[in-house]
Parts: sequence; C-alpha cells; structure tokens
Amino acid sequence: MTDLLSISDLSVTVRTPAGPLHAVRGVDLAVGRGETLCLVGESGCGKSMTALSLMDLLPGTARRSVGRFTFAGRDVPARGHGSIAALRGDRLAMIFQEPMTALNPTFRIGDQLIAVYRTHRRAPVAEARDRAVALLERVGISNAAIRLRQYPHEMSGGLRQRVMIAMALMCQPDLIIADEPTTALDVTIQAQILKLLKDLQADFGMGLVLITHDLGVVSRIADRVAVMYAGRVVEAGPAATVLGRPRHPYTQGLLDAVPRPGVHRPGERLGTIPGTVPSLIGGVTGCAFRDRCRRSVPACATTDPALAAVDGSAAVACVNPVPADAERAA
Amino acid sequence: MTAIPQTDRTAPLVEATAVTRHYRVSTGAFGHKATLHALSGVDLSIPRGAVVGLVGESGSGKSTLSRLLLGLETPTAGRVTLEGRPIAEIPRKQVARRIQPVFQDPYSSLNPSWRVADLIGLPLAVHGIGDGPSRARRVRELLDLVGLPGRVADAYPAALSGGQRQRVAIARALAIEPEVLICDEPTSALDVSVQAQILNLLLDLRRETGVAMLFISHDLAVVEHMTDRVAVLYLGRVVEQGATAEVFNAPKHPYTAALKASVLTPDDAAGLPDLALGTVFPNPLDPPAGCRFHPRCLRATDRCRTEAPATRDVAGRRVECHWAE
Repeated sequence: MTDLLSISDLSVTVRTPAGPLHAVRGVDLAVGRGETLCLVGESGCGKSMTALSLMDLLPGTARRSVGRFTFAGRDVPARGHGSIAALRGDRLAMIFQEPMTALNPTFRIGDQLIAVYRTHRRAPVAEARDRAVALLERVGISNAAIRLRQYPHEMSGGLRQRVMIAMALMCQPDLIIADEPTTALDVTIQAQILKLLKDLQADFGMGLVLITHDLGVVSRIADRVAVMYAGRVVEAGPAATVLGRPRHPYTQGLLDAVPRPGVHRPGERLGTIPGTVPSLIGGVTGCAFRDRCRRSVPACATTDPALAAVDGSAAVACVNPVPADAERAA
Repeated sequence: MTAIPQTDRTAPLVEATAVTRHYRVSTGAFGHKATLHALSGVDLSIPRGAVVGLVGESGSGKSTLSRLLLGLETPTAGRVTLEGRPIAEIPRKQVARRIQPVFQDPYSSLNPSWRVADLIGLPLAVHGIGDGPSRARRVRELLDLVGLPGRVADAYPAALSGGQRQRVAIARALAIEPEVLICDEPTSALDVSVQAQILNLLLDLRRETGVAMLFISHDLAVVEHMTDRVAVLYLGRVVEQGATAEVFNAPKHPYTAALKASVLTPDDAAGLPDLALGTVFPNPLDPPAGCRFHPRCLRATDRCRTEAPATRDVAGRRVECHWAE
C-alpha cells in the first residue's frame, strides 16, 4: 500500500518552567488510504502531541522537528501551498475528544459546517448547505435541515460528535485524525460512533488515525497499531498480531490490566504495571520503561532500543522482548 | 413525635425502596421551571459484605442514587434505610460513620492545601476516635493497607500521582471502618494500568475487611469483574437487577443486551457490534409515556408506547419489560 501520510523521526519538545519536556522522541508513522492506524498509550505517552503535530496544531510552547514528512506522495513544506495549514480542514481533518469545546458555542451548527466548506471551495452558500444536510443525514442525524439552525448546546454529546464528524467530512478529506473521539461518550454511543467512522471510511476510502487509550477500541477498529510509551513507539504492527501476541512487556502489561470476561475470573486480581511513568523533562537514558519492567536486564539501563522487526510484520523496541511462545493468559 | 423504627439487623445494610427524586430546574433565561425526573421508583439493596454494581449511561440517575444512599440528599418519595431505619431520621454523623464515599476524581476530592496524614486523619478527629499518637499510628496502618509508603503522610496531594491520590481517598474512606463504601466511578479518571491497581486494592479490602460496596461504573467489563449483583438504570428506572453473571451472560432487558454488546474487550476480532438500539434520546424533563426505553427499543410495540411495564421476576431476576421471558 502506498502511504497517504508518512512522517519520520518526529520529535516534539515542550518548554516548561522545569526545563524542556521531550514529549515525542523520534516517532515514525505511516498510514495508507482506507487504512486505520491506532495510536494507543496512557496519559503522557505523547499520542496527542503526535496527532497535534501531524495537524500542525501544537501549542506555542512546543517545538517540532521532523525528518521527512510526506502527504499524498509529496513533501509537506512548513508553510505556503501544500503545507498542513493549507490542507487542514480540506485534505486532512481532525475530530477532537470533546465536541462541546471544539464547536463554537456562539454559532449555529449550520453556519459552522458551511464555513468549513466555503473556506476551501469557491461554492455558493446553497451548495454548501445542501452538502451539510446530506452529511448530517449520513452521520445519522434526523431532521437535518432543522438541526442546522441549532446551537451546539441544544444537542446531546453523541449528536455533537456526529456533527463534528460531518464537519470533518465537508470537504471529503483524504485523512481524518481522531483524538479519543468517543472517550467522553456513553458506551452504547461509543460503539455507534465507531461503527459510523468505520462505515464512512469504507464509503469514502479515507485514511484514519485514531488516538485512544482503550485496547478494546483498537482491537475492533484498527488495521495497524502503534503502542506509545514515554514519547516512543515501543511496538507497532498489524492490530491482530500486536494484541494477539504482544512482544513488548508494556503492551503485554496493558492487556493483562484490562478485565476480560473469559480471560479473568470475576474477582480475580488483575495484572498491574508497577511504578509510574518517568519524567520526560531533561533527557532519558536507556529504555524509559525499564524501572517498571519485569523483564529488564542490565543492558536496558544503557541501550535505548530502536524498533526492530519481529514475526515478520510487527516491530518491537525492546532489548529482552516477551518470547513468541509465552503463555498469554497468565 | 413519631416513633423511631428499631434497627433491624436482619434487614439489608442499606436499602432504597421505591425511591423517587425530582429536581426543579430552570429551563431558560426567563425562569420557566420544569421538573427533572432523576429517579422514579427505584429499589436497590446492598446486603452486608456484598458488592453491588450500578450501571447506566450519563443522566440515568446513578450519581443521584449514590447521593441518596449516602444520606446527602433526601428522596422526593420513597425511603432509604440503614438496617431498616430511615436514613433521614439518623443523625448525620452516625450515617457517615457507617457509609463512606469514594469519588471519581481524586484531583478534586482531596483538599490540595492539606497534608495526606491530615486528610486521612480528619474522619478520626471528627468522630473523636483515639488521641493524637493513636491517630498517627492509625494513619500509618491505613497507608500500609492501601499500599502507600509511610513517607506519603507528609506530602501534599499535588506531589502524588492520580493512582496514589485515589489510594489516599480510599484510605480516608476506610479510616473509621465503615460498613459500606459508595464508589462512584472510582477508576474512570485513571489510566488502565493504574485502574488495575485500584481494582485489585478494592478486591483485597473486601476480602480483608468484609466492607460492602456500591460500585458505580460505566465500564461493564469492570462491573462484571468486581460485583456480585448488578442493577441497570435507564432514565431513572432500574430496568434489570440480579446476579451479575446471570444478568451479563443472558440479559433479559433489551437495554441490558445493548449495553453488553457495546463492551469492547480486546479479545474479540469480531469488529464493531451493530447495536439494536435507536439514537433517539429521551428527555428527563419530559420522560416518554409507556416504557421509558421504547423510543430507542427496536422491539417496541403500541403496548410499550402506552403502558409502562411492571417490574417482574424473570429467570431469577427483576426485569422491567413487557416482552422479557
């Protein structure tokens, strides 16, 4: 598959009073047309910073450095024609976690949808409105023409997230980046929104980068997954391989920590990852996970392992990975 | 003066009977008042030593019920009892002595300007338990019980991680050895690896101290793991209630079935479920006639639209659906 978006050696450093915080440390990512890539990890692992840097939406205190950045086969310049700022909302769109803060509360949703379209297309208002109505209906909102006249506060969280998705689709983008799009929603709504994203992806052939902390979501929607820890991708590959036969001790630890009917008996103790995430202020030497890792060896203190291929299709950044034939359910 | 009912040791520890709670809310800038039906005739009991789960979506009334069970609010109708005696008639401090809350967000539930030792020791001081040195010893014991090192006693909450703060909140709740913990989404603000630590801690505490719990969560996999019994709330009504394994393995109410189907565990390569669930949302200011679930239920008939189903015993549990069998 030719890559729709690819970025190499992405690093993000955030200025803090205590010194530079290395939020993202040398990440390579690629996503193809029609493909879903999930970035998964816990708070502070750098997944949101990665997403924001793909969209060129980093806060002013953050600085980005990139090796190579291509979109649709072309190098992405820092500014001007073909830059992310020019493509954003048109070829690339973003869906945020909390649609109440992402939508402007003072404008009717119709005006917001129409503005997105007319920013990028020389089109009459009527055409933009027709497209907004069609897309609201496509994302499962009934009475779309009436909804256009409503303000965001008049809608439920699930409906607002559907509006956000319709807004992302206004210019029929090639790539959607969704940062925890269902975390603020109830479980039944989550399943319906994810299903909608998957269906829309099949219809429009978009690439989808989905950021989540929920391995259940990953297993149901991802083609490929990149597990992040302390600003690094520690394991990457086809979702079924990575979740079915995790090789990085961190990935395995995450999977063991989630209660799973059929795997855990009710009331049984869950697997835990001892300790806490290390500070990324200043430098990190060796593997950032080693203090919490049950498989750490002396080399972990000195070697910062790079992603290396295992099992053919997956890659893991670990000096002492979980053996391929280990018992998983333990 | 009315006679105070005697405490009944055979009654469930905490019990809500036909509890209704309405709020008068303002619906607009011009002061129109409306009635929000948060709970409408809910029965729930927490037996001694049991862990009871409460699930439902936002706005279903989970947190309102937890506040009523804590005695922080009084029901509009119906009653909440502690060993058979209405909580409203028991002095506030005596209720707090036996029922303690653990809240969702350990960032806002701990006073940031207090040291951990004072936070955990406050319930002991309020209830006049022990003197200075014995309270200090008890604080160390509690820190040990919840798996925190003794040096944390002198720290302020800001120096602790989210998981450590939730351990402090649990230690504080346990300080006066209550019989029931009301845990309202105790792990939803935490990362999965930390969530597992806190869930393990609650499981250990249950084994070691026999404390009963109401465990409120939107995460059904967690509720299935943690609880003996479960009640499913929908728009202020308990639509299904019974033994956790039975309710989740063979749901009888269509809403429970949809909730169960929407649990995304990392085992399944089944893809995303096609939920048999509409997307029309009910308004708690104006609950639908008939069955409250009918606007979203794909099996709804004319009967469901006009006649509210009675709660019936079906397959060893309580179900509120005309068609459950």
